[in-house]
Amino acid sequence: MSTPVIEVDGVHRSFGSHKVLCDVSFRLEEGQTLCILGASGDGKTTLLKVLMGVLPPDAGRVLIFGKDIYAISSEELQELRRGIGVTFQSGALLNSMSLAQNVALPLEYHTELDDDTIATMVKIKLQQVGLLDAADRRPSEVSGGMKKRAAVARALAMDPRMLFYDEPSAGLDPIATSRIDRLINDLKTGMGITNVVVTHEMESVRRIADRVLLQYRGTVLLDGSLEDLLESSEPRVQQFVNGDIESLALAPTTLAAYHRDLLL
Amino acid sequence: MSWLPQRAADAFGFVGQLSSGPIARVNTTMGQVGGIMHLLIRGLAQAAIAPFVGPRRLWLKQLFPLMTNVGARSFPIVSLVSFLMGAILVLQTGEPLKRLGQIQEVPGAVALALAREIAPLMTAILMTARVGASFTAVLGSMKINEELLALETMGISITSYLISPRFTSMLVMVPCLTVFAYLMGMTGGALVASAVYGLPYELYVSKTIYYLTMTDLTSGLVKSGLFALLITAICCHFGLSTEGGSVGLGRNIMIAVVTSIIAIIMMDAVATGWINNYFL
Repeated sequence: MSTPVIEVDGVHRSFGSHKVLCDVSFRLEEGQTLCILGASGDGKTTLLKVLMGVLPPDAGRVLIFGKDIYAISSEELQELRRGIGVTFQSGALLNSMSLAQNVALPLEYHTELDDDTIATMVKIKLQQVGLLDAADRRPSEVSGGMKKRAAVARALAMDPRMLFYDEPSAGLDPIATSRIDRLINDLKTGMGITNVVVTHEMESVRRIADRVLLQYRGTVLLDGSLEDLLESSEPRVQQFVNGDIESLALAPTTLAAYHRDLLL
Repeated sequence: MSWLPQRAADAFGFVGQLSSGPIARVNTTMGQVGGIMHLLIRGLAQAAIAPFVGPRRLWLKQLFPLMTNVGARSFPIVSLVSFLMGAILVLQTGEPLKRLGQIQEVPGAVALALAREIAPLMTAILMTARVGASFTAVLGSMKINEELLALETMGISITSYLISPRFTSMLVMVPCLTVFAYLMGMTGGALVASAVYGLPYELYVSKTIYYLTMTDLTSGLVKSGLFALLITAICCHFGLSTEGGSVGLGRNIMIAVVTSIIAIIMMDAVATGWINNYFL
C-alpha cells in the first residue's frame, strides 16, 4: 500500500445549527481517482472546500501530503497548494484575461521563468486539454465545456500531484462530459495525478472512479471501490446508483412531518 | 426559561433584543472598521515591499493599467470639475469683495480655498465615485464568481496580487490629480476673474503666488494622500466582503461609496485641525 496523500479524520462542519459534515473520515492513496458522491445538499462541495484548505472544520483533522493543513502556517499552506490544482464548477477563470493568460497566471506568480518559457508551457497545457486554438479567447467567448477544460489546464500549470474537481461535468452534454472524463483518466495514467472528483453523475463515476465516497446527509454512507458501490445491497446506495425516485429510502416522510413542515 | 419569573424573563428578553439590535449593529460596525484597518495595514505593507520582493512582473502588469485608469482616465473629469469649481469660487467671492473695494484680493481667497480644501476634497470625492466604486465592483464580482477563491487555492495572495497595486496606484495618482485639479481651478478662476471683473492675468497670478505658501500646497497634498488610502482600503474591503450575489454587490458598492465620502470628510476635519494647530 502506497503513502496516503489525503487523510481525513473525524471531520465535523456546521453552518449555524445546520450540520453539513458529521464525522467524515477516509484516506486516499497516490495515483487514484476518488469520486465523492451524494445528492445535492449532502455536503460534497463543503467537504471539497475543507480539503482545499479554505473552510476550516469545526472538529477533526485534514492531512494533505502528510501535513495538517489547518495547523501549518499560511506560508506552508501556500507552498503546499502549489502541488494541488483545483477546478471549480463554474471554471472560476479570471474573466478579464484570455484563456492563455489564465493558464500563465500561476507560473508568473510562483516562478521566475522568462516570458518565452511561460508561453511555451501555456501552449503545452492548452494542447493537453485540446484548447490551443482558443488560447486568445476570453472565458465569456467559449462554451461551458471549454471553460472547464481551460480550468483544468490552469490547474495543471504548476504540474500538481493532485487535482480537485467540483462537478466537472455539471451542465455539459454527453460528449463534453466524456471528453472531461477521458482527460481525468489520462492525467491519472499518463502523469500519475491523484484526482478527487465531486460529482453526482453515475456515468462519469463508472468511467473514472477507483474509489468512491458516498455521502448521505453529511455522513459517509459508503467508502470503497467502484465495485463496492455497484454491488452494494444497502437500499440508499442502490437508490442513488439506480436513480430510483420511487423508493422512500432517501426521503422518508410521515404525515406528522408533512403537517409540521408544510401546514403549521 | 419557563422556570424564571415573568419579569426576569422580560428583562432577559430586553437584553436579547439589545444584543440582536443596537449592540449587534455596533458590533458589526466595529468589525467593519477593524477589517478596513487590517486591509489598510496589510495593503500598505505589501505595496511597500512589492517593488523589491515577490512576483514583481505580475505586480507591474497589474499596476500600469490601474495607474492609467486611476490617473489618465480620471484626468478629464477632475479637470472639468476643478475648472468649474475655480470659476464658481471667483463668482461667489467676487461680489462681496467688490462691494468692499477689494476685488484684487479674489485670487488669494480662491488660491487658499483651492489648495487647502477644494482641490483635495473634490478630487477625492470624484475618485471615490469613479475609481473606488469600480474597485468594489471588480473585487465583489470576482468574489461572487469564485475567482478570489480560485486565486487562493492557486496559492496566489489576494493582497499582493490585487490589493497592493491598487494602493500604489491611488497613492501615486491621487496627489498628482490634486495638483492638476489645483492648476485647473486656478485657470478657471483666472478666466472668470478676467472676463467678469476685469482682473488682469498677471495680477491674478502674482496675487496667487503672494498668498500661497508651501504649507498650503503640501497640506493639500498630504490630505489627498490620506484620502487615497481611505478610499482604497474602504472600497477594497467592501468588495472583498461581498455576499449575496448581484443584490449584495450593488448594496456593497453603495455602502463603500457612502462610507468613503463620510470617512474622507471626517479625515479632512481632523487633518485640517491638526495642520492649523501645528503648521499655520
